[in-house]
Amino acid sequence: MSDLQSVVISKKVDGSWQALHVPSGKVSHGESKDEAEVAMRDLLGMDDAGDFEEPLTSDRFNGLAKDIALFLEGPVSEMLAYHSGFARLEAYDSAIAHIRLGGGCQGCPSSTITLINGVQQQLIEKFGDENILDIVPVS
Amino acid sequence: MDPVKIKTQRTPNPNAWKYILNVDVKSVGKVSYTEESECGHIPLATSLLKMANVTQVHFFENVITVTQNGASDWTALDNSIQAVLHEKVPSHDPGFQDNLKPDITELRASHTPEMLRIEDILDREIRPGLQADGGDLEVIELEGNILTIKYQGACGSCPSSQMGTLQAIEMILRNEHNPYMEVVAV
Repeated sequence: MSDLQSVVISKKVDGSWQALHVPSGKVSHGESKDEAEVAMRDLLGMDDAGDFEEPLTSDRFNGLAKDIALFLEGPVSEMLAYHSGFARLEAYDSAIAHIRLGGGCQGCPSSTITLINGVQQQLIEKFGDENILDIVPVS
Repeated sequence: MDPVKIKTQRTPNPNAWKYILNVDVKSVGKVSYTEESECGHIPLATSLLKMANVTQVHFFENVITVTQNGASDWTALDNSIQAVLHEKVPSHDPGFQDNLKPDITELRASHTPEMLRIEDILDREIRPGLQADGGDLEVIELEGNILTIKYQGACGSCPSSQMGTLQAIEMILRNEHNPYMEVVAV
C-alpha cells in the first residue's frame, strides 16, 4: 500500500489515525492505520489495489479524440498520480477538449491552474494548437 | 564513471519539473534551497539556482525538482538544466551535509511548551506531505489563538496551500490542540 501519493498518515494525540491528502486538504480518520488509509482511498475513488475505480473514457472516442483521451489517461495521468489524481477526456468538439481531473485533483483549488497552465500546454505540444483551441474543465 | 542518464517528469505544479537520475544526489534525507548563499558548498545546487528564473531546487535520493517563477519557457530551460546536470552530477557528492541550515534542536529549545506541541503536530501530520513536494512551512508567531505561518519552497506559489491545505492545517490544530485556533499564512 504505497501508491497513495501526497498523503500523510499519522497517529493523532488521542491514539486514532488520520490520513491527510495535503494538496486538496481532504482528511480521513480511522481507529487503525489501515482504516484511515482505506477511508482515504474511498475519498479519492481508489480501489484496494490503488487503481481508480472510475472507468477510462478513451473507448468512447475515435480518431484524434481517442488519441487525446489516451494521452490524458497515460502521460498526463502519470504526472497527476504524483498527487493521487488523474485526467479523463469527457468530450471533444470543434477542437475544444472537455477535461475532468479526478481523484486527488477533484475539488482541489490548484486543479484548474494545473489544467490550464500545465495540461493544456502539454496537449498543444503533442497535438498542435490547431487541434487544441481551448480546454474546458468539467467537474 | 557512467554517463549521467536523465529522465524528466512534469509535476502537477506547472512551474516545477522533476529530473530523475540514474545516480543519487542526496543519499540521506532531503533538502531544498532557494538562495545560492544557502548552498555555496554544493556546486550542483548553485549552478542550477544561478539560472535565470529558477527559484528553488530540491534534492531527494536520485531526484532533483527544479522550480521556476513561470517566466522561462520550459523547453529552453530544460536544455540548460540538462547541460548543468551532465556537467556537475559526475563530481557531485550525494553524501553532502546541510551545514548551513539552522540547527533545529537548538531552535526548538527556546520554544514554549505550547509551541512545541504545535510544532510536533505539524511535524507528524503536515510537513511530510509538504516536503514530498519540495516545500515546507515555518511558524512565524503564535499570538493568542492565532498562528501565523509562512510556506516555503514549492508551497509558497501553490494556490492549494492558501485554501485546501490551509483549512486542513487549521482543522487538525483545532481538533488536536485548541478548538479556537486560527491559522493565517503570510
